[in-house]
Amino acid sequence: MAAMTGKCMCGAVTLTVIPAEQMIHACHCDWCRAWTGSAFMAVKAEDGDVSAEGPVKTLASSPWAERSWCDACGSGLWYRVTAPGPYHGEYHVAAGLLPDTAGFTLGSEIYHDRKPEGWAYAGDAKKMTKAEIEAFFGMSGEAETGAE
Amino acid sequence: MKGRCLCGAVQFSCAGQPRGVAICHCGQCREWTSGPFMAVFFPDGVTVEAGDHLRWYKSSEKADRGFCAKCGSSLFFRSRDTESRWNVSAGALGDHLFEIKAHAWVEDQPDWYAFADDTPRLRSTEFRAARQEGRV
Repeated sequence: MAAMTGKCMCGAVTLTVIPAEQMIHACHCDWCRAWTGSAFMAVKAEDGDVSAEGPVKTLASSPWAERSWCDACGSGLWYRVTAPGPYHGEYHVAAGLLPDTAGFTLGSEIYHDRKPEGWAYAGDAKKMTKAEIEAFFGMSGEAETGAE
Repeated sequence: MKGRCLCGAVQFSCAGQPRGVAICHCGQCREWTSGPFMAVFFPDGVTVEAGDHLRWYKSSEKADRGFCAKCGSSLFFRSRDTESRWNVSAGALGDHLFEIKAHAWVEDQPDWYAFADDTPRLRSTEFRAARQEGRV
């Protein structure tokens, strides 16, 4: 896909992203919900396909991934896999940073069983539970505690 | 009702009863949180119990947004003219269940998601009026 440019809420961080696909994935895990208010909506990009300028802060939020945000306004920028293996370096860039998402669709909802009752996205995006996604990636999700 | 950010550096306690959740589809919330922002409205405010890393950003003439400077969690949206009225990230309140009252700023909603509920879809002017009248 063609490169896209985006920015955070305050504009201090600008970024260029080459999306891996025209899809947005929702994560309902406890940490994404605490980070964003509800689900983290992200566009996948390969290692090397994201560049950013500005005050980017990064936290190793689990043994296998890190999260980055704008230090000036707090906009969440991306979740990135740090664990060795086939997904090392993969980005999940916050979809809201990209101004032109025409043609993008909701591709999947992961940790769907962690979504609070009372609301749901419409549509038939593929849904995976916490157990299914953690078996798929061969990990346990209990370790993401951040910098506490 | 207690809340905290992802890393736990910011902790807070909400006063009184929440009025429910408004799901905001505005462009600013989308840039801030990746998608629609789910905020629980506490008319009686919030007491910040651990706030050394809470940072405020003035996102418009009317409002400030609070986030954790240590982990980047989006936490609060607060009108500057009525400081007791806090909109709190639903995700920061753990597994508490809240009633969805309405969708706000639907004129800004992109077409890559849709919600399944049938609560009112309010444009910005309609949402402001509804909040003023205490309906949301």
